[in-house]
Amino acid sequence: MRRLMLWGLIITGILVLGWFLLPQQIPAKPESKSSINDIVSTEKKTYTQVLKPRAFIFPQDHGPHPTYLIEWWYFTGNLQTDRQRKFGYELTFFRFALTPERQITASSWRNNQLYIAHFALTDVEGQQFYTDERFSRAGNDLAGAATDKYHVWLYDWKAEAIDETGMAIRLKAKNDEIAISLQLNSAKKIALQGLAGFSRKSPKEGNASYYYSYTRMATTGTMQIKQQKFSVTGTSWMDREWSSSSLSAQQIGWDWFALQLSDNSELMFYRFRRKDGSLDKNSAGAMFHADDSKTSLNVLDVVIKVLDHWKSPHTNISYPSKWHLSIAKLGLELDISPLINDQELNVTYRYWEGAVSIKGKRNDQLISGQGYVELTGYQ
Amino acid sequence: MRRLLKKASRNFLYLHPWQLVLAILGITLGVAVVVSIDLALESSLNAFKQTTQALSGKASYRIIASDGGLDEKLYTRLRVIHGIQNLSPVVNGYVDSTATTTNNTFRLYGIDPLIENSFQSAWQQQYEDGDSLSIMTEPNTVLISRQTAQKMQLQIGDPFPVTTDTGLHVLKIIDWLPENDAGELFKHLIITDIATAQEILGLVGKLSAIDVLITDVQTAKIQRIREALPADVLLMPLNNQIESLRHMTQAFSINLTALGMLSLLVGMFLIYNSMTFLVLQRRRLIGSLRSIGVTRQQIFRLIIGEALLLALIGTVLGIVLGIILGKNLLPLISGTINAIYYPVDHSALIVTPVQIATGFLMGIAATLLAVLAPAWEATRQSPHRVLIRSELESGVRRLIQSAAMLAVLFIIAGLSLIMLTGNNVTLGLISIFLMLLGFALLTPLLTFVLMTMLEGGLSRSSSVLARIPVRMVKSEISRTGCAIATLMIAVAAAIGMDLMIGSFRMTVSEWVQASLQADMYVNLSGNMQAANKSAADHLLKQKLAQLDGVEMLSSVLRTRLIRGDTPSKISVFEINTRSRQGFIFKRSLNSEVWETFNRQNSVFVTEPYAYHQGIEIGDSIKLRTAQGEQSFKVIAIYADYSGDQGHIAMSRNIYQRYWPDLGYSGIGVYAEQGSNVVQLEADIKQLLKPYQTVRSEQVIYKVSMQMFEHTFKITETLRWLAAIIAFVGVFSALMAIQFERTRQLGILRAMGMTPGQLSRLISIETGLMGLIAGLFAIPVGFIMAYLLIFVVYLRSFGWTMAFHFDLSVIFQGLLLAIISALLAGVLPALKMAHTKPADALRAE
Amino acid sequence: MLYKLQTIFLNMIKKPAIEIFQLSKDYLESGQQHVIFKDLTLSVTEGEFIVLLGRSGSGKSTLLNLISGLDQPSVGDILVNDINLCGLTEQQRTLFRRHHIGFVFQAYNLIPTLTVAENLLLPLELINPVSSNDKNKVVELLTQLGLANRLDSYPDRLSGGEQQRIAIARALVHNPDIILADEPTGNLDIDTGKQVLELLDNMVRNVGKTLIMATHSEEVIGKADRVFAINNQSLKLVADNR
Repeated sequence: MRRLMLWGLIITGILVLGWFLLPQQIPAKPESKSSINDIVSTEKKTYTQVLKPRAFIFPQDHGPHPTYLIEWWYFTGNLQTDRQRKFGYELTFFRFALTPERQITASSWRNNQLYIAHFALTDVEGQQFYTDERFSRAGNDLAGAATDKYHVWLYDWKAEAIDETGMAIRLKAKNDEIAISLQLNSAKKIALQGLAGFSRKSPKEGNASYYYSYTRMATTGTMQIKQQKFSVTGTSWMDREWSSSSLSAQQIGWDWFALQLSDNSELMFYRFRRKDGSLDKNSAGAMFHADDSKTSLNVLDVVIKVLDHWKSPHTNISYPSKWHLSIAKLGLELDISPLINDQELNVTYRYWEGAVSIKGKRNDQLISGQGYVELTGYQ
Repeated sequence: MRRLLKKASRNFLYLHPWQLVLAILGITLGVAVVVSIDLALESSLNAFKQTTQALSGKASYRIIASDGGLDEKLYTRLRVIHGIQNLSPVVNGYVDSTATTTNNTFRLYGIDPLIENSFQSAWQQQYEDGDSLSIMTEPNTVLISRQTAQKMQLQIGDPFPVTTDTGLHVLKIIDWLPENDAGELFKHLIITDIATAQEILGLVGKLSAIDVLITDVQTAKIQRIREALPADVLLMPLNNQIESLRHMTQAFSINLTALGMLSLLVGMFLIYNSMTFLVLQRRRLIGSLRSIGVTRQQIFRLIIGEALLLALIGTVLGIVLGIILGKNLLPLISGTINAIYYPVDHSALIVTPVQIATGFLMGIAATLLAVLAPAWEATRQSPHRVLIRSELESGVRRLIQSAAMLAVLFIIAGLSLIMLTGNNVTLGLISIFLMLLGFALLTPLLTFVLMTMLEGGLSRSSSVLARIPVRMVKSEISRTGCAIATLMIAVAAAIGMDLMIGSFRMTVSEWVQASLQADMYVNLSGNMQAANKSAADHLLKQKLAQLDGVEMLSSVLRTRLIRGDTPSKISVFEINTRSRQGFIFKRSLNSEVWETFNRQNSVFVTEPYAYHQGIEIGDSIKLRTAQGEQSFKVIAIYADYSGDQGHIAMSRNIYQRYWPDLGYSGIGVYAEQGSNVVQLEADIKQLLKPYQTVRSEQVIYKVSMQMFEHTFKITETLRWLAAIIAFVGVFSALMAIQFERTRQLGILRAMGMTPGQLSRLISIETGLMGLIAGLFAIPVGFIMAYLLIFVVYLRSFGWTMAFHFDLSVIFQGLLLAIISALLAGVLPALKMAHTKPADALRAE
Repeated sequence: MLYKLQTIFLNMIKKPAIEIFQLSKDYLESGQQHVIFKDLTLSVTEGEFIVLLGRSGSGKSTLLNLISGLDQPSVGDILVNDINLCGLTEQQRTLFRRHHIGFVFQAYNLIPTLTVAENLLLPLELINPVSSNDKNKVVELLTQLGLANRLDSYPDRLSGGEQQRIAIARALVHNPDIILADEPTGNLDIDTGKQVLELLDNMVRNVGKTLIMATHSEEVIGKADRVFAINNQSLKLVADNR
């Protein structure tokens, strides 16, 4: 289980509460947080619950599941030019159902599906981090996702399958400063997270999500920063997840790792942080091997040490900025460092999501890699 | 020394409190009228700008279409295909609340709450308790202002029933609009989601406009948007729209301001009069001061200092009174703008420091200007002797001569200004002011001549008593002439405006009667963009045609098309043989004109439209269609007084070639000869929806004329304000005149003249002054009326009208002059009659 | 009605004589009582020439104003032909003045807006509509004064002496019983003053009218029947030439 429910719910809450907020990013008030939880806990039952594994049917399941509270299409990737200039990108589409049921009236604008998109670019050489976000309802075709092929869009930002297979996807996003136009081809089969795509996050019934990924997508295309255009190649990671639940009261945030190693294997692991600082036993992940086989990982399998911290000059929040990750049963020892420290997204909901580089050993063999780390709930 | 000087002078002033009060009153009233007009006018005109700013925030451009509205998919295309950011879709209309009593019309403003924050619209500042996005998901949920809700005794969660063209809708209040200085603007505003707005207003699939926020002058971006727009859609700067509305009302504003200036001018006379009195009365005091070595400059400063003090008090009072008066004028002014120009959503008086400062400076400047002459005269008092009356009067003879010469100069200047200034409204009004001033300056001469003639007539009668009033008017012409001139101006203004309004009324009445060729008119107003309107209208028209007693129908569709870069009003006609007579052409035309109108790309334009746009018969007008610009030949110009900007008229045949069918705005029903019209009206009513009406030609005539009277209410009000100030001026002058001759009146009393005889004497004198003023006001009023009709109104609005002579106006003017002079003379007459003769004889 | 009243009055006061009893006049100024005179008593017989002497502000003018009914006493009575002026209304006093009093002022006080002839006609017109007879009378009077050529002149075109002569004519033209003259020579040079005094003497005394003149010119004293001085708020007989 990755991008946890609370995450999205907080965004929903802030949006619900703060859709008229002034341009200054005002953090949600404490009392409004409680009111989100109120809304969620009272209305939760009416959204479709994730109770057991399901058989995924594609391309329908690439499309939206509007009776579920929250859903996303999540792309991150490490790119570089011919001259080895390194970039990272994130393009994410979130969907929220504002109500469990859509009231259908005459206007095509009437819609209960809210889409939010985040777009970030990391320019390692320029030591710059660019972010932007978009909001729209699904009405009047302003945003949405298709059921006949992989296609999600919000205004002019989109992720759209090039062919029927759904394994090749074109990403497009731009604003006045930055732009990407990328083609992603999955080098591996769809990776089902958790138990055949049923990702439980606590023993409580319904506290789970449906979750699958493309863990390694060969990426080519162009990107633009201000007036500069770059041809780039690299590797991307795509996550799809939907659910109707939220974090438990004890879980204050999470650290999430999506790592692509040079031996053609990928590691996904998330760990919850509890209020009391202890390890949350619901933390979990999986290792996807080069041969498409998978090793599930639990909280005891993975040991993560934070080696350094970085204090954001924008928010004064201190984030971990270097980790040592070891998985004894896979013989894996990895040092993970951000490409640049400042990859904090100061959008409506604040979090850190950044490109990282990896150096380490697998069974005493040198190994390297790249990936993305997401840090939420830091104050 | 200076303190003593001031004291000597001030002690005198204390003895004449009423002259001080009148001087202050003159400033106060003049400033009050000017300030109130400025405030009320600016508030009315700014209402649109403020509403726009509150609702559109920092948006600088707006995408609009002709009345067909914008396709909502255009917005999707701009966002999704063209990737244009910072767009705000709007669906906008008016609804009537069934709950309120008085002003129950609300603007329903449908927005997308998820647009970029950078717009910073007032409604985007809304933040209350987390329920707000349900405006999107839950139908008919709205935000209104807390004050409005409280007035209607509504709470959050309460139902709020409204009616629109699509029927009754029960809205639900889910939150309050933000409370800030824009509170007034939000009094009659309902904010809702675009979906609800579309559904309530019957505009599903349509947008009223798309606001565009373009931060800098990003020409490339503007170009990108322009290229993405269909041919019949316009991207126009919001400022242009605000400016064009301002421009539209410019003539109206200038005319109102001129009326205010008239009041200030008359007020200046009051100040002039009072200060002259105070200087003349102190002739001896000033002489004494000069003889003990006070310099001319010191005297001048003394008088100016006094005037400044009076100006200060008067101006401050005037501004306070102006604000109060402004509050009362505001509904009149915004009502007129509402009726003629565009909807004014709110009416709250907004007072800016700049306006206050302007009013303040104007009050001070007017006072100083009015006081300059008396102050200068004061310095001319020679130190060693007191001038005797005859010398003063012989000076006055010279003054009459110079005034007459100046008068001729002013009148010539005014006339040449009229000839040379083309279409400029302000200069046209200035020339009227010049001519009025000229005639005012001519008044002393005229008075002198008239009184000499009257004297000649009286010489045959042996009565000395009868001669006294005539001689008094004549001999003190420096004072009486001024009072007569003031009264003359006020009465001439009254006569001039009455004649003008009368002529206008007559012209409009004839025009309305000529235009109303049908027996009944069905009003189908409603949202043009409403999807089913056109079909419903056509069905109704069919049903109307089938009714018993209907001979034929005509129809009109009032809409807007884009000409160049601005929307132009257009009336689309289906005309039959009878309705053709409703067009009063400004030039006789050949008989083929109707054939051309129906068959070829041609249009008529109304007279104001031709005037403002500089269009002549034979010119071409280019209009935007979905297929690009099309050219239409202007084949006739016809009279129309329904609006001062005018419009284009097009045959429906031609219109339908290029633009979508929007139904009808009105259908004219022509009854068969001898059919039961009452029954027919009842039958028609059966076919109509609640918001549609049928009215007989007589009722429409009546309503039109009522509307006409309504639009002149503000003019009437201001005219009366000027008249009141003039009255106070005449009163003040008569008070001063009578005071100055206290001694003379004392002698008469000593010789055995009774108080009654004295009162009669004064009354005859004032009556005479009124008569002169009235007599002179008649020709001047005529000239004013002529200038108003053929210069100001033509220049302002492009209307030509027939001069309509009305004898009763003349009589009323004459009567007004005499009665106001007599009334103004009552108090001075009584006061003088009851002054103890012994005291009077002692007076200097 | 008014005319009737006038005739009644005329009958009532046919034999004018002035009697002043215990007359006091004071006025208030800034809260202070100023006494002009106190307990003044005087009796003037018909045809008598009385001169009032006194410094400026001694109350000479006030006394004349009281006798003419222009002003009213604080205490006391003024009887003219047995009519108590203090018992009359303002209107009645005006009518009384119109018929019985002729005024000559220091400052001439001709009506500046009327010609010489008109100034003389005015007192006549106040009594009766002007007739051609009246006009003749005016011309006659002016001829007598040697001013016939100034008939249509306005007063301010005349010299002081001329003006005062016309003022005297105006005081006499309607044939009043009593002439009140307030410093008639005060604005004139000595010679002109003499002429004016002579004129007054001739035109008033010779027709048997009562003349009361306020002056501080000693020259007049010889001509007067009695001379009084207003001094310390009371009237003192200075000379009696009867």
